[in-house]
Amino acid sequence: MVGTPNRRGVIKAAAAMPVASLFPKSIGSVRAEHTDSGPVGVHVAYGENPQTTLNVGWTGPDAGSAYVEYGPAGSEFPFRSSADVTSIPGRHWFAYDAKMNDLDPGRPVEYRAVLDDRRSETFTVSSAPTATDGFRVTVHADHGVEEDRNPFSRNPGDNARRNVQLVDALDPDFHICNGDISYADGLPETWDRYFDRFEDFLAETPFMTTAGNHELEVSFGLQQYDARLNALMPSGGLGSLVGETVPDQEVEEVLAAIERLVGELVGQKLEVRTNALSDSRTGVLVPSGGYSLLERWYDVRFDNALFVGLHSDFDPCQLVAAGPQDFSCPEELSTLIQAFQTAYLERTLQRADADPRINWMVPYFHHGPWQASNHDSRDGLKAVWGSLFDAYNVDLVLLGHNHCYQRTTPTTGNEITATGVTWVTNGNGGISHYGVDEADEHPWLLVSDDDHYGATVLDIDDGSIDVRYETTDGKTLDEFSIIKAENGRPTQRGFELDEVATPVGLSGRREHDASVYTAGSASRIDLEATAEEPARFRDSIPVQWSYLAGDGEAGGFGPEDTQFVRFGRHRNLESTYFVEAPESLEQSRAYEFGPIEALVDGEWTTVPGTTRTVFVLALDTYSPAADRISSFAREAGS
Amino acid sequence: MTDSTADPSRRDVLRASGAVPLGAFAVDGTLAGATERAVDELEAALADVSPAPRPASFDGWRPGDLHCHTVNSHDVCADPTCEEPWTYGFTTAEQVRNAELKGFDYLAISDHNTVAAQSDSGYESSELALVGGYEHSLANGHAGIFGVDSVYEGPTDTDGALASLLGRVHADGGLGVINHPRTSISSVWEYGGPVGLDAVEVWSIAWYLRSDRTGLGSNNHLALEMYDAYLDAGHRLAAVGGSDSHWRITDPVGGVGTPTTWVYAPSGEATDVVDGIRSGRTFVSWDWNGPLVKIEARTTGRQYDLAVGDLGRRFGEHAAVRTIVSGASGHRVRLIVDGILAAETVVTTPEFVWETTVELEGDRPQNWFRAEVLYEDGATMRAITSPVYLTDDGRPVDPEPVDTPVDVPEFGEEARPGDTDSRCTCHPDGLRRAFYDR
Repeated sequence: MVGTPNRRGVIKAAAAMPVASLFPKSIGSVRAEHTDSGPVGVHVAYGENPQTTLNVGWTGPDAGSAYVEYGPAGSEFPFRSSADVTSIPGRHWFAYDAKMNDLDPGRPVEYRAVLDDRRSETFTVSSAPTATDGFRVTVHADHGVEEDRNPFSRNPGDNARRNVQLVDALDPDFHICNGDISYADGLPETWDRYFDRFEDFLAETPFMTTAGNHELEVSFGLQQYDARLNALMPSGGLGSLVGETVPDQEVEEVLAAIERLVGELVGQKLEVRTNALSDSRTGVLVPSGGYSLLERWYDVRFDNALFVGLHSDFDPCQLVAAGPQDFSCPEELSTLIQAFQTAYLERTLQRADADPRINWMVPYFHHGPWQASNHDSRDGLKAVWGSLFDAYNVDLVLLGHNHCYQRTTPTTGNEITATGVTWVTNGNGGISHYGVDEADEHPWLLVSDDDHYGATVLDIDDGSIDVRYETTDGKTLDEFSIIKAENGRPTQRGFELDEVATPVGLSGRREHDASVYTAGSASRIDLEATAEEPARFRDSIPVQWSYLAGDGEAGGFGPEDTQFVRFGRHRNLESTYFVEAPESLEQSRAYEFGPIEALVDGEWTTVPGTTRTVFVLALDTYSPAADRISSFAREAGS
Repeated sequence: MTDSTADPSRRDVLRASGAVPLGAFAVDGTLAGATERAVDELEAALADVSPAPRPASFDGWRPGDLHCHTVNSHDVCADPTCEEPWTYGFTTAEQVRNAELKGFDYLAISDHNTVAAQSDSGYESSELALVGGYEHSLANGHAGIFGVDSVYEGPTDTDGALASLLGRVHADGGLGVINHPRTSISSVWEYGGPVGLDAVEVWSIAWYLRSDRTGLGSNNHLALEMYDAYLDAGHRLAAVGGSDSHWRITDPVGGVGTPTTWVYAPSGEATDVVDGIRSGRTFVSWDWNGPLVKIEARTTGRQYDLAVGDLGRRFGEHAAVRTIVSGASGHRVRLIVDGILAAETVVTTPEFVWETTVELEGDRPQNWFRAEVLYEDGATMRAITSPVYLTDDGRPVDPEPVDTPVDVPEFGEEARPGDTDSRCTCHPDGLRRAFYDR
């Protein structure tokens, strides 16, 4: 089949090559023979507005013209939209993405991808409807594709295909793959194989993704994820800093500095590819090293639900540290990326909470907290993102990374609570299994499975999110419903707090006016807390911050760099106060606030869900940081 | 044991340990040439050790040396048996000039039991304040007596006798410093406590001179241990340093300013320097370039209202401490609270501010905390502050009796439990490396 123009022939030809020839040095010649191939591995995702935009991605050889042609069923493709093109690293092979705009909501569209005169098959996909009587989303993560030629990665055997078969049969409105998608680990052929193998499903079901650790390409960051998938996802934007008082220009300067520095880190250390990403969506965020750093976050509103895809790896150093030399990487870069993403998340949840059309909020990302195993639980995210989920009544959080299925109780902060966020991990996409601890070690763990592969199915209407965990061998191993409790907070239908160990009768919440502050800015904090009996309350703020004014009284200090704000005796505490961020900040960094504590029986007792991590950007003092980071880069290069 | 021309061991040992640089004997190849070496040659030698600019956060802090000698000291000589005393040292004019060249704001010349320097023609400066004083050879130790223009006579063989002598010094506006209290070279401090003195020379000559490793030494780590024991007992004492410079050397070890004692003295006048030491507003650094360090504290409220030397009121179980370090990127900074290493961080920026909270033990008469800056090896001291003190009512407490070992170790002896330097793994090579790397 080698040498035929058939696109499937191309894939097979690549697969037939010895492993050594799959590496960049020889890749060019492999692909050069197939300049007459048509579009390969067509897949589709919701664009900026899921009701009117669908973005199509595919790969193929260079072409004079590349576009998608589309239109209503039977209309012979009256519309055409040209594609952006990105070179796949080290090859004469390209990723294309094109937008199908101005679609009618909820109507099927027929489309074909075109490279010069070579066309893909015709596929049919529907945009999101304006309203439904209910809709379905399927979810898994840690998927993979049958592949025994990738020396970097693992082979899921037939499990990955069977899982696609399962979700295809479930006929979702859209599908989420929550990171660790193809297990390419940088090898372009594995990505090609993934999209080709599952094209029939991925070209006809909007495919929404987040980046996991196996999207990382050794030494090259996430170039291929960005080109093949992130480019198709909606744009999240940068969110807002406190009071939106910081000029955009200043924020952009910082972002440009980060981008330059990471580019420098990559460039100093590694051979820099010349094929810079053309990322028209983010403008300032494209480093010269062919490496796009930021903004792998977005939200999709489908009917009465908001889905938010986030990127849980903030560490740019991880992207370059995998190279041949050890070198140190400034922590501050991760802090900055995390800060901007968190600012985006907060703004998005805040707006959704206030939007009467939105009944449900479902964030999803690859790595997360609440893991009943020792495999990389990111519990720090509870205070960073979890606190926002608590504050804005997020209903359900979807995770991957751990190769198992886990469902928590409703949670608030670090506690099991009668109402609150349910976290579902499904890393049983197909690649392998990791163990789960016994549930009695983790009272918050209601259901788990590390024995099957399968998908999480969400059936969503106005009254509930009905969740099932379906396996590839036809079992339903979990089934529950998220509903709203009387207080407007989410819970699981039928869940009784007595079933599990309960904390003392304290509840509360905290709100900050932002997640990201600039040095020296003032912040407003609103607290609510309730105790069964009147009790003295206190809050903790970082010692580096100053208490300015409000209902509390600054007084005394605690361990771990905290100082207390005291409120006297209350049964229902409702209070507002103002604090000032540290002024002389050399480095951007995160600070932890809370928890609120109540004096119960002579002991200061934590009020669940009242911690919060916020960020302070050292914008004014960024230059010294930049110098410092540059010197790291120089060391790395030497 | 007192300094005397009949005691050659001190010079031998210092020379063997590197405290007397070989260069001291290399000028013209002759001793005579060395003693006649002109100050302008020294100026040339000092051209590359000019002081670094001081950051605004240390305005009012004055660098200087409280412990140096001139040819007015009997043990200033070059030969092992000191057959030519009062020879191989700087004249008063030269020592003052050395201090000026290093950018000092004050200098105390502390010759043994004499204030003769104060009558020398060179005892004047337009650039720095000259603090009058001398080094008093006591019956059971040595003391620096400052802010005075005469030698105080009288018995010192008991705690009471010394306290009485110090009473006269204080009445005249002077103060006393316990010099090199755990030296194996000169005279250890064998009194039953500070006995009315105001400060402890916690850093004498080079930091790493310790008798268990270099044969003889000033054992600064043990001096610091004694100092901490005094603080634990409820005393309030300034931490000071002294180069104890005797010879014609300006090198990093042995010349004036190695180490340097910084005193908060806004006016820079000699009386202000003495007041600053008496108030405990001091820190000691490796040399006149620093590093610079100070701590500020608060137990409640928004303002850091306590500086080093201050006594404040306890409030709750914690205090907030702000440590400001200048010129020590890559170093470690530690907070010692009630004698315990309570917190440590790495200095990441040239002007570094570290705010943290420390836990206070409630059952002590007095809580105290001070900062130390060390090389990244965690072993080589680079700067030490005086403490901030807290008591229940913010008033001084009556000190308890002190029980702290007086012995100094022999060469090769194992560090004993409680040896402050044993908090970290240190090795003589590591220390030497750190010294030469500076």
